[in-house]
Amino acid sequence: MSDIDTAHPVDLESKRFSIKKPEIRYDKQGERPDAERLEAAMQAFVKDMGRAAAVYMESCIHCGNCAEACHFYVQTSDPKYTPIWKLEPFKQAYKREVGPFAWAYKALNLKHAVTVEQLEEWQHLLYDSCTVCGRCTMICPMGIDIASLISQARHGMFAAGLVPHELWAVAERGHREGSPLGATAKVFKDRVEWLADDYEVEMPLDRPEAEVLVTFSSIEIMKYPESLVATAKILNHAGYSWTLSTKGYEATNFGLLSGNLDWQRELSMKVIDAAVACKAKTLVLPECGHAYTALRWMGANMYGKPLPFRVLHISEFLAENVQNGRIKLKKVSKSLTFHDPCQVSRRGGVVDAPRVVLQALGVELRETRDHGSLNWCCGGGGGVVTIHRADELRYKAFELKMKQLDATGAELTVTSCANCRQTFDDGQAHFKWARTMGSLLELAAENLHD
Amino acid sequence: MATAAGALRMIVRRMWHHETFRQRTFLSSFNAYAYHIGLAIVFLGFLPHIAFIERLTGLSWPAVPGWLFIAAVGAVFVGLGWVLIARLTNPVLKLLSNFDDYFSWFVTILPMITGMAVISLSLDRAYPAQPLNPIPVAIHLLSLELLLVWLPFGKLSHAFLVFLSRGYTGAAFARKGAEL
Repeated sequence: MSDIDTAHPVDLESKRFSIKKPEIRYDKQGERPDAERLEAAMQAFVKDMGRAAAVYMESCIHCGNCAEACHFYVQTSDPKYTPIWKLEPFKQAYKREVGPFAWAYKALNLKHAVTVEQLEEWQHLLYDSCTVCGRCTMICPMGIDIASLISQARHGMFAAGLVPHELWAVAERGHREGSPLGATAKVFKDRVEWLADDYEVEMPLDRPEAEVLVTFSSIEIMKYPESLVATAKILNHAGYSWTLSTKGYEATNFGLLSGNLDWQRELSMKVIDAAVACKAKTLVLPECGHAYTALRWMGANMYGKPLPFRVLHISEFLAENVQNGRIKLKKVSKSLTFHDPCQVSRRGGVVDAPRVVLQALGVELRETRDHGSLNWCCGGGGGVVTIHRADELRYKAFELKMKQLDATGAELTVTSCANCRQTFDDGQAHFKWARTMGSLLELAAENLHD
Repeated sequence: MATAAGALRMIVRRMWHHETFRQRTFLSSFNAYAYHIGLAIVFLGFLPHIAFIERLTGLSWPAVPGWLFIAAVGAVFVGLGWVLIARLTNPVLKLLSNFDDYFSWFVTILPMITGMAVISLSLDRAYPAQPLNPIPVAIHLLSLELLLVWLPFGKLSHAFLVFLSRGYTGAAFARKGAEL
């Protein structure tokens, strides 16, 4: 999945700070003194500290309810996986350095200074055991958006060079090559030409002007190329003037996942600039959860002003065109269950769109007990699927998901996120599970009316 | 406008859990409601307290019946006792709890305990038949003042921060059209 940068060796020997010591390693990027690392982490954390984050930090009543919403806690009963505990060093830093009574906490040493050892220890909690799925936000009686605080803490961890190697490596590769999985512009162009030939489908590339600019996720480009073909079939069927762009084709944003705001901006701007260049009215995002967060909900912040085009997840695009009659679908006489990707549904607000498409497909939709905004995460989001040392824990969370989907007894299982799909493929292979996760987009493309 | 409405909706919506979480959080939620309501009844519904506020502000309202007051006192003691036991024994709460949590608990239960020292004299009337021993009353008032002094600095500040934190999340989620 990713290259591990051997230039930055894994430190297995250092002491850890914890109440319960997990037998895990932590990773470090680069060589620099601990004090410098710590300073970088705190500066990055404080820099992003807005009013909302400060209120959240002050508001927690330590009720522990958030543990009951977290798949990692529910599946292990280990209290260290309590979502708000994952932020403990940053809460400590906030009280001591930023909060309204920081002077008192510092002068009287009521809150101890955060140490690098603490941050190293918390790497496992902030990355390996948090998919940033935001289910904890849904249970918090104080309404604290814990997931947003985790993202902010990750900014600090990235600045300190304390990111799990695999995640750091894919993020760095994305920054260096333009794609975390090696889908460079040349590779992308070759793929598109090959797919267009092989599947005999028109896939316009680098048109100077188009109504719709389509993007993909790196997982789709490298692992699920059928998704590219499916997207092309849908756009052609709906009769849009559309294009792909070698300048901005990948909506994947590992800058967001790893916690590097500069890389996040750089990756988002490639897509935004490409959409502006071809005067697109609509930017269609792929079946990818965090791409939706990065461009739909954070894109304008990266651009610095309102985006001059609409941003739609592919499921929204499908639903809109099913409803306006531009996409006509054949009926699928099967039972089906849908896995809601957390970033698209719970954190993105897109719950109804996939169901509109499924209704048009005429499937017998069998919802899981917790679905829509309260769905259980697949366990691989937030970059967790890239972190190999987290596999064992991830599989525990996945067991919950398998049980939930199996309980529906549905014949088909689909989702609208390639990262979820990849996590399901991996889980299926690991558990030799009978169920295969499909794609909503591909299901729709397979059932277009001639 | 939609975000402001989202903030307000979240403040109301998060007063109870989504159905899927209720089974796992029933006891703690029930208990939290019981002692919060109990505290409100004791503080605002007890006749001598109303008389005290009336003397200071001129405002008054009917007191709660004696049986309700006693039930409320019971709910507060049982509820806060349960909270302490949970903090000391539940692995998650034990891990999360710090000085602030325990001290906030202490300054909340202290006025209840000191109030018990004078309660037998004035359960059902605004002013006692005989003058109260001023020492227990002074201790009771001081314990209340300790609570009020601590309120903005520690966990008790959730009494007003709850509106802000729910409001921020409600506004952010409403902007995205996400469920609250």
